[in-house]
Amino acid sequence: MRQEQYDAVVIGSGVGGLCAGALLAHRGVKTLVAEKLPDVGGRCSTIDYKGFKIPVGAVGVPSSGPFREVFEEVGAEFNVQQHPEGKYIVDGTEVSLPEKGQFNAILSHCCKDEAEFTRIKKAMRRADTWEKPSNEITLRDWLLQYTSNENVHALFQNVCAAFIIANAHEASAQEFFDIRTGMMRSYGAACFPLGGSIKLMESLAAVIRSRGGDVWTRSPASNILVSDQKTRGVVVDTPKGEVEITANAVISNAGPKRTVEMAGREHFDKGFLSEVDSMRPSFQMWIATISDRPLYDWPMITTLKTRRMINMMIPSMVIPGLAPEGKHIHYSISGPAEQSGHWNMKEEVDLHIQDLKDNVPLFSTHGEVLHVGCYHGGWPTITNTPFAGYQPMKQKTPIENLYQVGEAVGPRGWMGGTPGCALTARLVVDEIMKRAERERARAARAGGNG
Amino acid sequence: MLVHAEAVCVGCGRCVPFCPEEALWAWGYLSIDYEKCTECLICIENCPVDALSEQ
Repeated sequence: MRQEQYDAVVIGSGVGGLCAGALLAHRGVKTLVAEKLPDVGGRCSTIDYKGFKIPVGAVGVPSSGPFREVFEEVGAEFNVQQHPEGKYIVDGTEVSLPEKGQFNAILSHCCKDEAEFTRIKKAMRRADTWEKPSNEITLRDWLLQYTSNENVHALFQNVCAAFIIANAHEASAQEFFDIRTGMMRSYGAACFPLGGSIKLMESLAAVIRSRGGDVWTRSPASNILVSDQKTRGVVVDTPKGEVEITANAVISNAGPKRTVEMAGREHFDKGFLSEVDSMRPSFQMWIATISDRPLYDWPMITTLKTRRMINMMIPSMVIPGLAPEGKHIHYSISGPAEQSGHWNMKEEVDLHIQDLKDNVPLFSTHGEVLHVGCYHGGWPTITNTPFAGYQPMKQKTPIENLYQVGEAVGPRGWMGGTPGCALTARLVVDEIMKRAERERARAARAGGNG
Repeated sequence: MLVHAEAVCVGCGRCVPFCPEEALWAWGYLSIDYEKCTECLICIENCPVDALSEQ
């Protein structure tokens, strides 16, 4: 088998993998990223279809925070366009809100009186600034302490589904408030990447290559090589045959289940395996709808009290190049009634479409569904869904020098999305650099004493 | 022949746009029009969960 040597090898070119690869390459670490699919990006990517660009996963990215910071540090292009805050549709009717202070305004609209609004705001302030609720209570149960108003519950449900990828009656209340002070605090403005999400990922891949690293596509890793509870590299199945890559650090962006498979279950302790085996991935669905005109007069709508739908974006109203001249594309997202349940996929699609008909009047007359994408199981929206009682996974595995990045190992408050994944990459790269420095110092001391 | 492991497939539809014959359609689950399929196998390399294979 052909053999090659790198300082670090990254399995998978998702956000976690490419951020880690770019940070390492930028710091002078000879890095290989091995990607199974023909294109980079994982669940932050874009596919061309009949002249339109459809998303694979992430659609909007934040203008600031850990994701943006990686691009700034490594000098990678970050071409995005901000889109305005969404308009709210409640019971199929748009709610008129001021331009700023949107959450307070919609909360106030949903509350039946000033006393209820004040009560909820005080509780949120206490959670944000004093102490977060328990991880053992659901967000719904937390909110029921202050109101049973179904409009207020629908608002929290929507934010929860959008950011936590779980329903309020299942999600950890602690995680909801962790996200508020973590990922959402640093979010900045929501933006659409020009040319689709894949452009940002290709930008990171370009940095890796320009710094002497490599990004291979159509090259799945088949084996993580382990001896004596330490990894020494991976075997990659390239179009030209198998290659054995030796490296000091292996970073897997393939998800914990696949990582364990590649290394071999026998190398991991029972506790770690139990954590991996008990992860519960969550499901959401993207529908791309095309039309000869925008199906709404605003590029972002947040829909409350729906059967399944969470929101809809019309990025072709904000940036060029996503649709042929004179056409528009809409991306709507939905989640199931129970993230912990079994789903009838056809029914989930039908309910999402029913919501589009009820909330977007022009959908029935002018919209055409171009593509339906369901994310669950082995290609989920989130691998370790923050149900009440859940535990986040760490980035280090029991195998020395084998790390994980990506949404499955996001810390509390950062359990997914581009910022969470970028943060895991930064944590792992910082650890790798620290360990390398300690090794160098130890070797220097030994050399001095020799 | 193109083989589709239904238990593994999640209906992400990522394969659909890559088919040059438009033999694929995803509606929460994948359907394959075997009359249109020419076994070019482009869909196989674009499946993120290895639900497609050739026999």
